[in-house]
Amino acid sequence: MHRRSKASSGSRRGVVTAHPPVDWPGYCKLPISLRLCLEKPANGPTGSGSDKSEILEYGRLSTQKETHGRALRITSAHVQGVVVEARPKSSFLLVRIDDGTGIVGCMLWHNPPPVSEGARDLIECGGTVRQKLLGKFVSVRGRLRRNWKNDGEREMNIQEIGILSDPNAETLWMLELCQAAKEIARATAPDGDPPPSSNGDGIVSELKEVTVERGMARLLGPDDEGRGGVGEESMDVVL
Amino acid sequence: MDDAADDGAIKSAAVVLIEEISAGDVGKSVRVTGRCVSTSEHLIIADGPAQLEVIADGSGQVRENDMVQYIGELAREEGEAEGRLVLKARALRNVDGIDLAMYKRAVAMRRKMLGTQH
Repeated sequence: MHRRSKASSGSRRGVVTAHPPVDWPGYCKLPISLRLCLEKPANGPTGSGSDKSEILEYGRLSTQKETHGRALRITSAHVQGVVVEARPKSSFLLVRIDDGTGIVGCMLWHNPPPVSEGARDLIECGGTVRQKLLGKFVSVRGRLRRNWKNDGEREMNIQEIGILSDPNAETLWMLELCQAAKEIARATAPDGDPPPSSNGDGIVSELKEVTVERGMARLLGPDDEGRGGVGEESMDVVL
Repeated sequence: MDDAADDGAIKSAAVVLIEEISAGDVGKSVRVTGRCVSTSEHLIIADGPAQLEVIADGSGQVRENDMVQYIGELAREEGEAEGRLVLKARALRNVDGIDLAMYKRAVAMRRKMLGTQH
């Protein structure tokens, strides 16, 4: 099963080879193609932000002025996918991750040196990093950024990266994302329940409660024959 | 400042089942999962009755009965205008031990959530 993460990540190893990583509270799980943003809005649920800020509604992009309902802004994300490219550059390591819904370029910068040991090991691999990472299923946490040289395409600055050797990790991830998407959609639906507080704290804390343990208990309960799995009935409940 | 945009574009590979692949999918980037049933003359992976030939560098890494995932582009078999489709792979992932039935259900659930075919 999974351990709840500690608040401090300074002593945590970055490379996880045996178990899926612990849930990282405060980081929104994203299937790469879904464009959601989450941060505490400055004023009210939709926030004000700067002139260049964007609020992305669930499933599509909209400018701040056009936003209606309650939108969430995400600045940090936790994504999982297969590494389809790993290339050392002069000042960073480029890792492209494909989760089947989209590709995101993730950059592991040399400076400042990463905190996690695993991330530092990847930088030190140099030219052999491609053999180490290509085709591996990885979990990445980092801050989102826009590449304005490429039409504002989303990229990530890697803070932690871990290789997941469990072949069923991706299955669990997909189920967790369905759960997270349901929670986000419910929290941001214009006709849904209003957020507990006006500054968006309620939405953030609500999402923090979607832990790995909760997802596992609800989504991977045993079927009638006692085997682990998702029954049709359970799937209807989730969706 | 360097950034990621100066490389050639790599397409996202949709997760598909081998049985879902049709003649109209030529050129598409896909990720398929199957058990390796042959490495002798051609590398062939199978998911139930459905089979797919894979053209991959380093195919010697794969042994018969390994459960694998390949990411690549679908292409016509060379030399045949209306030949069957083969997968020109660019990435390999060994998934021995995967619960394939649950994986397929999770894929179906995600497709339903995203409102997509793949």
